[in-house]
Amino acid sequence: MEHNTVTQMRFSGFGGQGVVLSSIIFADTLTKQGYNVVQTQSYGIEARGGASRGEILFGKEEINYLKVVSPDILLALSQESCDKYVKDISPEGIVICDSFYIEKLPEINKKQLFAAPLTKIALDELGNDLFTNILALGFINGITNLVSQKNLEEAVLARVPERYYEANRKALQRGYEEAAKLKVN
Amino acid sequence: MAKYELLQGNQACALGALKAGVEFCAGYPITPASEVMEILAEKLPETGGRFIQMEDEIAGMGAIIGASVMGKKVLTPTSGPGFDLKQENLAFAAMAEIPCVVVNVQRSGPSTGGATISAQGDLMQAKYGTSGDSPRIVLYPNSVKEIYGTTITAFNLAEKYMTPVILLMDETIGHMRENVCLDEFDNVEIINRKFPDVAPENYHPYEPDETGIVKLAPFANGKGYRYVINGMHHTIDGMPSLTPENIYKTISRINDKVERYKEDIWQWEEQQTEDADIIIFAAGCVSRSASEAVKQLRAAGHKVGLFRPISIWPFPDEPLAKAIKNAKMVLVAEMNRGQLIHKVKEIATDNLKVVPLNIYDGTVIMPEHIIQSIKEAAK
Repeated sequence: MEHNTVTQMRFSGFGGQGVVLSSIIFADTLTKQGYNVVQTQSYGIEARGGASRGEILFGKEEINYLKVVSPDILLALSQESCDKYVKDISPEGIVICDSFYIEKLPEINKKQLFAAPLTKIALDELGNDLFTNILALGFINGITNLVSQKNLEEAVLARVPERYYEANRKALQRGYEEAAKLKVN
Repeated sequence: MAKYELLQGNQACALGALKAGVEFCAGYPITPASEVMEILAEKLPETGGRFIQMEDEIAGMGAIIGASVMGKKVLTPTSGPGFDLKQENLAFAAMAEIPCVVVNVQRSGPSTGGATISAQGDLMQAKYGTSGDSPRIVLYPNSVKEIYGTTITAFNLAEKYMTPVILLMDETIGHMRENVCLDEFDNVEIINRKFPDVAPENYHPYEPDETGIVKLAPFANGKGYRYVINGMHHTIDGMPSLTPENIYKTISRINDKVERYKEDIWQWEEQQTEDADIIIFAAGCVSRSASEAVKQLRAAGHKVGLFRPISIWPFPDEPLAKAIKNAKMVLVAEMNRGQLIHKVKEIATDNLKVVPLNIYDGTVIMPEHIIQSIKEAAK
């Protein structure tokens, strides 16, 4: 990704998985770390039930692209969004998949593919799949190390209700650890 | 150290309005403008202001006019279908010289069109949507930070020139979030309308002094300034009058003040126009893509520049004429079927090629579209 002055990220899934929120939280963190950031999302009919997405462009220079064209990082939390967006990724772009929903992983270079059953971990260990989006944030950062995990946690807590602080903290940490496991393997 | 935060365009508009001193907001929820109202509904009561969710768009416009007549700084946010409905009262505000800010976060039209779909279809409506000849100041920012500053300017111009000001936005920018630092606005100038400087018995609300700007005392001022506000052609006391003299004076006054002070109102940005053979004319979100196109084309050795009107009405015709004087071609990129291109053509000399780029399928004009259009037109 070093050759690009602007890095493009797309967070995708089906409506209700919280991909837009997770893109806002990641954008918050990038802002805190001094990047120029543009964050957008898809709305409406397209998002309900279908493929929903939140997008980020960031870099050190002024950003004049208003939409993600070819993601350097694609998060896919559903089979549909994975199938739909995998063809857009940049030549060295990586795809991060929730293998709980994505049974048919994309046929791309294995070095560019990262998969873990994020929803299953959220259900089994946190008791609710609502935490998948935050778990995914930890997972993304564990793979990419784009931001400090501490800043990311602060950004998460600033956007979620206080009564869910502990669960979200745990989700973020658990996602990060899951990425570390992949690296060991 | 500069403090950066991630703000949404509509959020920046609401915060800018608060910075400008907005005291009253009324409106009816409509995508993609709703966040402006949602935030003001929450924040206004905290600052001693008032918010009312009205029964419809027309009432929203009527309510802000009423509050402005009482001396308050007012705003109503809307989008295309709501902007249609506000036109009648907008004309009233222009005619009666009542300051107000109307935010139109554009979406794809006509009619219901697409609530979350970006388009630049209301550029001409913003000026010509109402009957009769009436002035309009229309500002059109292209970034989250600029939305904040332009919202403050919109209030300042409304109060200074006693006229409605339209803040036009694109869905793309209204819903987008960007990292912004607002420190530079800490000591921004805030303008409030002038109170009459003559005694009540000598007060003629619609007889301005040599500045040409009326001084309307807030109703219920407690100081004895009483008068009538009228949508009909009116005398210096606001009473209906259809004599040719009065009709001529009224129409001239409300329009001439904007014409007279256009150099104070005009705002525009130029990028590398000095030596440019080709100039891209673009406003709102498209100008961001145009900036990128200029950057890429310059890197490839092409002499390309950008002219971006920030105030689209009054149209910055003299600055544009100056910028395109030595150019061979102007590409007018708009997310509509061709609106401001007519203004560009009005100014263009015979040897200047004016090329349209119109995309109105709901997608945003990207740098690549502009580069491709320029390459094709330059063949």
